[in-house]
Amino acid sequence: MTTIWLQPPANGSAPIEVEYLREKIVPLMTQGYRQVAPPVASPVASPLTPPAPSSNAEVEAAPGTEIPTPGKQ
Amino acid sequence: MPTRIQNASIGLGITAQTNISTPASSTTYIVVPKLDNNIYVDDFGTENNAAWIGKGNEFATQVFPTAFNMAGSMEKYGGIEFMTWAWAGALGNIAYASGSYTLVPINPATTLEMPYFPVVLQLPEGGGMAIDELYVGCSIEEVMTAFQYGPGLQSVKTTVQFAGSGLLTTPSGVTLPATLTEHNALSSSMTLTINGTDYVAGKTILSGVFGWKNNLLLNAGYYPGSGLQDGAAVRGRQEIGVRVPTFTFVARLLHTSPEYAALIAQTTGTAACTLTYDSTHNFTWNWEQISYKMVHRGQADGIATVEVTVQPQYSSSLGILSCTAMCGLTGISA
Repeated sequence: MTTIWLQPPANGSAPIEVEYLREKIVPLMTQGYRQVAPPVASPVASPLTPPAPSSNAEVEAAPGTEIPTPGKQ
Repeated sequence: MPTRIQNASIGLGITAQTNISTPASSTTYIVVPKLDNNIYVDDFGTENNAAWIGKGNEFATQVFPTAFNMAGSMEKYGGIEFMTWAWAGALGNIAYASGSYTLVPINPATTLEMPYFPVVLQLPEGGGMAIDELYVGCSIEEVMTAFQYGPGLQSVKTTVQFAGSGLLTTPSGVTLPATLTEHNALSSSMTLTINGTDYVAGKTILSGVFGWKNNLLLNAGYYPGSGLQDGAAVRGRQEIGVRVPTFTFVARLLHTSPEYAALIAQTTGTAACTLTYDSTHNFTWNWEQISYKMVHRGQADGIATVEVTVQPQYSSSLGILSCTAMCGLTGISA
């Protein structure tokens, strides 16, 4: 089954995955839905799988030093 | 040394621009030959003070730049790739998966602006370039695909008219690819069902035209603050006006012909037409709801015909028109 992702016309709405069939996508596209790239799944750590040790796994932040967080300015 | 117009290369950007004035960071171009002799120019408009009162005579003493205006056109045979690019740009909402495009008119509640694409014209002469121009921010004003009976490539033609923002880059800085290998469909490949009648099975269809005109609001593109280039205005937007679909056909007249009765009864139905080169190169128009607006009678080769003007209607669920296209061209975007 081939699917595509369509972004609703309303600002801020999350894209939806739709089967790529004319009868399914044309009504949505007519309403203003637009194809977008599939959303990138955010990495979620599994509680059953411990994170693999990295080369700097033993590096600890000095007291008072904030560890940078991705996406945080 | 003069140059022949056959030397001209026209590159059509298939990657939608970021906005009207900014081509995508990486634009894919297709180079396709055309039939008409229109060599593009970014018209530089001027006005003068000839009519002004109080300067002593009726002749111009000053000339002022007004605006850049780029208008281009292409007439081609039934190449599926070009047809896909043209109808995609004309309708504006594009989806793609597994080698197949779905094309739907934009919803004016969402946006009034069509996808913008760049066009490159290069004409070599004497070892240099007589023309090497990049027209930025083009959008399609009108597309028409006409089919008719008869052999050969001329049985299907697609014509396109487009308008540019006026923004011009010269030299273009673009290295165009080789001419695209096109897959031209013939009308002999057609399937056509209109309002419940299979016109191919009945061997009655002779010709027809499908069209879409956006009636772009081009003057409104020169709004206060739209921008300047060399002291003349350029457009900052190109919005759709009152869009007009076109659908006409001519078929042979039989005693069983349903068109006149369908006109009187205002019978509504759907229409579907497919042109095929092969299993991976084809184009389909799906008119989601139609009735007949006008039925006239005529002749072709001395044989009685019925000439029908179709009234496309807007279906609340499926809209007015959707096209599906298969071709090897990837990356046509909105």
